[in-house]
Amino acid sequence: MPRRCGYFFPVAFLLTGLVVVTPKAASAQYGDKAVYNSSVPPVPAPSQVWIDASAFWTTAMGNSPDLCKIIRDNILKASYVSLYPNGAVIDARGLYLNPALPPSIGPITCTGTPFANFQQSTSPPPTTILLPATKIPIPQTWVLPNNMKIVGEEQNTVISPQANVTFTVPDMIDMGSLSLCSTPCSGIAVEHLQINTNSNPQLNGIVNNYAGTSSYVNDVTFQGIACAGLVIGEIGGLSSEAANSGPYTNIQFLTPVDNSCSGNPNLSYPLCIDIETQTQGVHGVTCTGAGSSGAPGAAIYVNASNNTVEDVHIEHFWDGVQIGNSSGKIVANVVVSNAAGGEDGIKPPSPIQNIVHICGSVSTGSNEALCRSSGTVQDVSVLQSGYTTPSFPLGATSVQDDATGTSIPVATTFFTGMYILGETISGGYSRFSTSPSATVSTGAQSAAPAWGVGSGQASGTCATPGALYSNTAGGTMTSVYVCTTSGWKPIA
Amino acid sequence: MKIANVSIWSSWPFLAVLTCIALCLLSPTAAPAQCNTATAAQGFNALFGNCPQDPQHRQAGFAMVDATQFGTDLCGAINNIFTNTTNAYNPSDSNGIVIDARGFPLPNTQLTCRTNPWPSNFVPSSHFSNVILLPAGTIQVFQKLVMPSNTKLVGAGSGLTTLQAISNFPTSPTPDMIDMGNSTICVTGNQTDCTGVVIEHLTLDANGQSLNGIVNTYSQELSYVNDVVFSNFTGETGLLLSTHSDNSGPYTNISYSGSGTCAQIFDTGGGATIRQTRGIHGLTCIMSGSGSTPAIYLDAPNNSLEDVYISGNSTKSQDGILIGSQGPAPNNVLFNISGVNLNDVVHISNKSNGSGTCPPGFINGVRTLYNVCDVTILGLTRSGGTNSIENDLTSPITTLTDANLGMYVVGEPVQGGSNSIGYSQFTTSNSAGAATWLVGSTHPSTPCAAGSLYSCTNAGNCPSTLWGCQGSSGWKGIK
Repeated sequence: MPRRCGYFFPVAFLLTGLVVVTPKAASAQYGDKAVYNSSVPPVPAPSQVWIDASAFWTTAMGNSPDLCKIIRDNILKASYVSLYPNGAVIDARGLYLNPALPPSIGPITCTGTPFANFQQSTSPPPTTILLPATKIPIPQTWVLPNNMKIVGEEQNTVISPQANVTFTVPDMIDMGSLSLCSTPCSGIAVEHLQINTNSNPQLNGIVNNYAGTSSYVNDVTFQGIACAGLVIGEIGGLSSEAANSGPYTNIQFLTPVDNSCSGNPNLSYPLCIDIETQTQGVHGVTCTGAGSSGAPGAAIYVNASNNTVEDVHIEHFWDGVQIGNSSGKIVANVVVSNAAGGEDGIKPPSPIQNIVHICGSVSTGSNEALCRSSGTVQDVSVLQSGYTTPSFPLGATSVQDDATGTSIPVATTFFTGMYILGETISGGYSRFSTSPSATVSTGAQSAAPAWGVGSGQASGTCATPGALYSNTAGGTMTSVYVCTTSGWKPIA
Repeated sequence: MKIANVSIWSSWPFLAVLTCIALCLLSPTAAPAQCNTATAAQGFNALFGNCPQDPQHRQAGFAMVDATQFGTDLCGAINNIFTNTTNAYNPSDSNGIVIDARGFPLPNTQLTCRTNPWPSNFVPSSHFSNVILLPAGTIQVFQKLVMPSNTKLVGAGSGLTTLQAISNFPTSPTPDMIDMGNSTICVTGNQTDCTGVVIEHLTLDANGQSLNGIVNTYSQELSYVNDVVFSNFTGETGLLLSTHSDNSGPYTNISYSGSGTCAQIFDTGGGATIRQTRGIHGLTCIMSGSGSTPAIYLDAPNNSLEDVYISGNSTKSQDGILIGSQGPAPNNVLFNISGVNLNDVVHISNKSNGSGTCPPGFINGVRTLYNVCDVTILGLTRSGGTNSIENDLTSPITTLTDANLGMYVVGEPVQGGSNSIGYSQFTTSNSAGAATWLVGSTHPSTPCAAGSLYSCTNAGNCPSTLWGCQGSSGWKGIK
């Protein structure tokens, strides 16, 4: 007994010492960034606003850290809500770099999803995940919970599907879900990365059906996609929870795969962006198509009211921006500004047919191709629609309006400065255009009447019956003219 | 003997050892390399982990490297990271790096940038990104910075981080402070295209010299400038978007003060190859000096200029935005343009160019390809100065003087027989001579601008519903 009691105290002392020297203070978690505290002299203490995921890169993972497992099992676990009640920045950018290892370091891996512990009704506190500049092969859809931002290191953060894996949901990234967003989700964002589905193309890139205000996509490239790059509000239409999301900015869609995609039968795939609800707009997009999807596929579908599409460049699609390909719906109040496209001359020629295509039932022929469906489209403003290359196919237009049967053909002008389609009145539509289409006979195509202004009297033939001309020099019956089939006629 | 009878398996020492082993097994074990506290960890942040080599079990976090550990000159330190085969830049193992230079200046040193942060002709792997975080303060810049693809230069804020050119800043071969790519690092085969070149949250100070601020001649997709101030420029151009800047932008939240040119979209090589940018959105130009050159040159097609404020210099003789004076500039849209003390807030040139793509105008059989057509201006304000809009395409020249103008759109030539008799256009201007469309419920009153239309919405008040203005002869009822 005396000898046994003699062991007790050294052992207790040893254990106490272990506890004391262990670096984990009561609030310290692995990965917490070290910051100097207010002690005198200051000593490093854990900061809980910034968690470095590389601290959980264990030897068991070898040279290929499992990004998804590291985040899921060590950080975004159930206790995250209590450990980081105000959220945190999870910095996973160090998960690829191990300077002491030889160059044979393996690629990053991902099992499951980082968000598996938050896929039901509970979302974590606001969190930003910084992703490394490397390829991240994922085996299933990443469903982002409320207030979750994922941010890459520009286009070298490449999220790609694992080959030969069937996704239950055919999306790479979902912004929210039905279960997570029983009250509308907000603050979900994806920035500065690339989604590349070359290895498993029949997927959509990013789908937002449930994230509304303050939810956006910025600086994202979609590559190798056979379905849609970006889908907004596919479920619910105008009442979708994704309404008022955006803006969707600085998007690049390139080298899609021309592969059958089972999506909306009214749409042609691959496509760049499908807008099915009101958003804060799409600003700054380049869409390069597969070139062989043919008529009447479009790069950008706008099938909901109250949207802006601004600063877009499109190549190798049949249509650039198609508005109102949606049977039975009213699509109104759409602004398209600075839309241009053509053919870059690098790929096999497959130039655009229509830069902006307003869906309707009135065909003007000449290789136009009506939209696959149409409802009522009204109050559309097109400000600057242009064809950028000298070569163009038969019947190409900068604006094709099938609601009224109007074409502004590239054969007469590469540009449309302004084309506004208003609302139906007495069998016509209120409209305004600055494209007189006056220099070349347009054959079966028709141009919108425009209002010309000059300082001399009008005479001779004119191109578009109904067009007006104002002579700012004035004079009795030499001030205002109307274009008739027999030429300009004075009316005032 | 009693001692001999005590089993080692039930002894306290054994239990203690067992406990220690169990503790070790239960704790995550970091990869040995991550625990390296020697050179392999140089510059990396420390974080709490499980490194037995460190007394407090800290380890390196490889997400970000601190440039202060690589030299005393800010840009030299960054250059060292790239060139001296440090462990921080390890392109064979990684695809990117975040370099945090916000710790500069070091004690007893100045904030200087004596070299290009990126090695000469640096062409990083196509899969390599780099993000440079700059400190607040004024950084003396000794030479042009040339940014390669997938590079992001980020300051602490446009009023906080200032890159200031030294006196006698080298101007050969080009007087540029920052180039977004160049011909060496952006040209591959027949492709001229750097991507992902980004500049944000800083000020460029030309230090009273005639310099270009940011020049983009080679960077396209996903390349943009945001929240940048250009100050103390006495010549050249603040933001110059040239030959191969197609599909770059948007260029947002930009401010310029100086006597040069605020911004310019123009193929300076004369090739007229820019097809489109994603626009300039949010631009303030505070012009000084006594020059009469415009604040902004717009000489390329398919661009949007939005939310622009221009304050002219004291001469009141310079234009705000001059369109099409140097090259083809069809199909541009201008939103919310505000000008103070300018000759013309917006000036549309009637220059012509054989390579233009606007529909031709015909006068007596002579075919002319003007540089400009299809310009839309929505929301324009003039304060002081002379004209809100001058349009040289028309004959005589159209000058609008409205203080506020809702819309002015000029389209394309309108034909009367074989001659062009005018341009399609629409305006809400009430300037003298501007034909517009008025709507009211009473009889129209004179004087009126010849060619204007008037729709009377109350038949009881008007003998005609639609009227045309005949100038000095007043309104004539049409229908």
